[in-house]
Amino acid sequence: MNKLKYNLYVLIAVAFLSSNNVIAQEEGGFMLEEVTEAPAPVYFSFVEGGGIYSSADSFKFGEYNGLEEEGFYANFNFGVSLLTAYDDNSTQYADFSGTNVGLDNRSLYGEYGQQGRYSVYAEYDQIPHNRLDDALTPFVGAGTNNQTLPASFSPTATVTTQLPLQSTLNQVDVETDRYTAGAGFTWIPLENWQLRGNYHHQIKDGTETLASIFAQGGGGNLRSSILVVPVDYQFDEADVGVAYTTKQYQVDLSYHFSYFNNSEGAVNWRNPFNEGGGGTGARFNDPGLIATAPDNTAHQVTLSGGYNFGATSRLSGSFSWGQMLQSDSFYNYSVNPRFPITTLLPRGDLDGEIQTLFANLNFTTRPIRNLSLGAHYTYDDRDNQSPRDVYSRIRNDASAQADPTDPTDENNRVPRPYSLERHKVELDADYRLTRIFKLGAGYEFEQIDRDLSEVDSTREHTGKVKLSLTPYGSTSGWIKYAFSRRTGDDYVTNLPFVEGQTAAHIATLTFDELFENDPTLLKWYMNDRDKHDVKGNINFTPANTVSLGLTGGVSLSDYNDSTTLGPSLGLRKDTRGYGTFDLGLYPTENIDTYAYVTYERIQREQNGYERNTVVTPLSVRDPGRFWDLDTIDDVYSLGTGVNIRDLMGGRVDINADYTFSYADTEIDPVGGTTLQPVFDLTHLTTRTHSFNITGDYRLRDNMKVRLAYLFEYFKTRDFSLSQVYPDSLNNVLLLGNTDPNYTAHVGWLSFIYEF
Amino acid sequence: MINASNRKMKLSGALLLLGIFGSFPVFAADGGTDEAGREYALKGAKTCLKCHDEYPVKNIFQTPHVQKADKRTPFAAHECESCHGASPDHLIEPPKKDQGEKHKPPHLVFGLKSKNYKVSSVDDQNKVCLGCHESGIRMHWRGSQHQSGDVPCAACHAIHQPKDPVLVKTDQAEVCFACHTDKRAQLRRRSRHPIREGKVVCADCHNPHGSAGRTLLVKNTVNETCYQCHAEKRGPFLWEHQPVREDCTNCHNPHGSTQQRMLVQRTPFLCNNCHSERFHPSTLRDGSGLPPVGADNRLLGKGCLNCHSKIHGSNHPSGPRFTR
Repeated sequence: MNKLKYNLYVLIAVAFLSSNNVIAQEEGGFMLEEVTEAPAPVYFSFVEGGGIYSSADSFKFGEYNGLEEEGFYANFNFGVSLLTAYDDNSTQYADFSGTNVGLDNRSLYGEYGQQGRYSVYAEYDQIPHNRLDDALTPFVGAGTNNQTLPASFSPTATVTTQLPLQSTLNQVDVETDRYTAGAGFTWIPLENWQLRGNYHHQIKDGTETLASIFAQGGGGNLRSSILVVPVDYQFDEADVGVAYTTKQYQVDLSYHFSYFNNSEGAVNWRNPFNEGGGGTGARFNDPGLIATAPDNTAHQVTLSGGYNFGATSRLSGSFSWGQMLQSDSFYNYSVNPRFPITTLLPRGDLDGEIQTLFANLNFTTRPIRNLSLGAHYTYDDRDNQSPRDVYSRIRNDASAQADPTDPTDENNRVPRPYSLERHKVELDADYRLTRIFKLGAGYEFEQIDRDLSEVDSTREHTGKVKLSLTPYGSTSGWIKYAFSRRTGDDYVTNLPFVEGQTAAHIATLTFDELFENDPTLLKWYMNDRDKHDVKGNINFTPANTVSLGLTGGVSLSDYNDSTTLGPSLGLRKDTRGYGTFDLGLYPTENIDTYAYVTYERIQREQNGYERNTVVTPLSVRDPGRFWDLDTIDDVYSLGTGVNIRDLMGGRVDINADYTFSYADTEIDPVGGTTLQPVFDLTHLTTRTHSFNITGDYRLRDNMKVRLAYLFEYFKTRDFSLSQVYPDSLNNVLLLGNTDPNYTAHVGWLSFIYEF
Repeated sequence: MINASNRKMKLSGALLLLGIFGSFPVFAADGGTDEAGREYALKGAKTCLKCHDEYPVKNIFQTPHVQKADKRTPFAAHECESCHGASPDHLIEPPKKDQGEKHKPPHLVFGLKSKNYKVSSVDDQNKVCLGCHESGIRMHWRGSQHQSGDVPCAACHAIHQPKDPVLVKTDQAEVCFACHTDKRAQLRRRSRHPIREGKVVCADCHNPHGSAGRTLLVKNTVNETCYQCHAEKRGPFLWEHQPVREDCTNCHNPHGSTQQRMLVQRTPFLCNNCHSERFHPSTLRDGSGLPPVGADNRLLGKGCLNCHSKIHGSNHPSGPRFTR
């Protein structure tokens, strides 16, 4: 018995002991022999250096790519990644990269850390933005904040008579560069905790265009010069945050700080126009000052969190409190000694403050396997607490300063610091009808409350449905439809006007004078609206080598078109639609090809009523003075490309892409019978072709040569620029910028060393 | 005294215990079973590499997910099967295809589609990722547009690649364009952000994992998102322009426009949507204002901005009309 028991125990023991081997052998017959050593530490690094030749001398081609001028460029890219082996005790890693190091749009990035413990990074980035080459301006000091006129300048009342303007024009570029340097860290001091922080300093430096005006004849007859003015911005941004994370709940608290500093707070310039007709306006060479963007500061504290109730329900939310502050010193009403300051500013600066409060709560649950429910609430409050005082303006340096004691003086103005409060509730449900089909439905309600505005409160209800074909098989897609109806409180057309004047002045006006904007104009973003929105997508993959896709949508916004005084004015209808056909072919493992065609149409219908005469009773309408205008954008885009890998025994990779785009904007005005005969506007068109091909030839295992070619053609016809010269307009001295057409051929040769 | 028989008994008992407990360390270290009792591979990733010693599977060893010493990673647990699930049925000899056999898939197959297998349900796929990644910018994933749209994480992320394309600035937009084809076309318009150059990426403005703001914006509102780069527009200003203060997209299309400055419509017609004051704002502009027939101040150059250049807000005491 004992022997039997002994043998039994041994048998069982051996069976248990050998069970691993049995399993091992079952798998190991094929699988479980030791396969490889642990993968070695990974070094995935490269250096690329080479030269670029660009044939284009075009700011538009070089708008962002750093290839603004014709010629040769040296360029470098590199990437160095260090990572410890997967089973190493250390989790150290480092990552350094540089892109377009030789060009004006270079970027550098470096990060070092121990995964799971900490990381630090530093980065540098540069973005050029070339807006215009060789702008023409007579101003001496163009591009600075103090611009004067040459001694030889001949002032007249209008531009077209400013001869010899051409002989005084100088060339100046309009472009900016953004330089951003920053650094940050993450630190995991304890399990589940993470601290993070970053700081970035950005400089935006260069020039931009800005209109500067004086007026003649009492203030309403403007003369403008487009100036090239300096941009010298500095941005400082910092974020710090702490997060606590478990599988069940997550909490994140962060603080964001942003400071904007403008080193050029104003631009001074001289009036190039002479007062015509003996008015009271500014004279030739009078000084003017325009305030540029004021310094400002923003703070925001955000608390976010999420809590999982089991595997099927989750509550998440976010709460933010913030401030936007601005207290840059005011400039005076005018710097023109012709218009003495008789009334001092009500304060030295705005002391502007906007308090923001934002809250968002989401609850999602799946009570049964096929049903998902969601409820969301958002509260968004922008409370502009900036003070409202009376400002006795000097109107365009053309008339004496407003007299605050004179109630009839319309030039005493009161600012309107707009506030906005928004509530939004969303409810949605998805029910999986079958494994393939899912039906969704939802409802949204949004209420927006505004102050100092024509409509006190708008309310929008939206219902939506969606049918999805989930991507399990060869066919996937969805189609959805939404209908929204927005209604609002009574539209008080003249409320902004009344709020922008002093009460004393308003008391002097007749009913018909109480309106600045036409009383029948209803601003689209607060007008009643019905909106239909349908979108759909279907993808079909009949085989591993082919994929087809069709995506499209139509959106129709229809605005309320009636008022008590007659048909409403403004935007009446906004229709937009698009469709895309995608094709992908993958004939072999090493070849991918694609093609797509997209068509978009955006159509806006608006109308107006010409009121060029002195105030007439608003109830009196001449049917012949109404006008309609349609703007129709048609945009065609086409793209195709091929990617071939591992040709010639794995030595050659080739990639080629071609894209074409054509945009046509048609503007159709239709005028009433009383108006002057109406002529069609020239279509605005833009046509682009872009073709690029890149070939990599592997010389050795760790070295390859890259040859690339880019062709780009850009042609636009824009009536605001075509055949428009500095003196094309009577009352505006322009910069003479024309359509930025170009044809570019760019070649690139580089060597890549991998290590 | 312990007799020989007893010693044999005790030895056999010890052998039994050894057999019982000796079997666990092997599973506990490298194997074990999941909640459903499926056995994990004994050798972890090495088992998988026997067959998958090629792109893209092996490339995962160049990514953060494999760092065993970081206890948060999949490789600190069951390695490949931490994500793909215990897949004993998959660990059998390759099928004899000439005899019509098919290889059984791993427990979880990721992506929108797979060449060899039917992909797992989106919920099952994403549950794995969210097991570790539900914090930070993914806090609002559940209930977000992409979640309710059945988008698997693997539709955008290629975690086996050393550089996940969606995390590379110059490649990210192409990943997004796979679905957002209208935005791909808009980026070809004449006026756009430097997205094609990789200087601005979709994720600078949108958080595809869900956000508290609308349209998956990274910030709470449209304007807060724009102020990230355009802080000079933030103000507050003495003289505010209401649609500007409310929503930048009232006038601009950040994805690209057929008009200058990413405007949604040409001035003065854009301005006419809200302005029909007496005199010039209410006047219909037409082809008679274009060269060579004529020259209209509101059609040429900067249009309405030929005079109202401080349209984003003015801080000049004489600037209520945005001209100073």
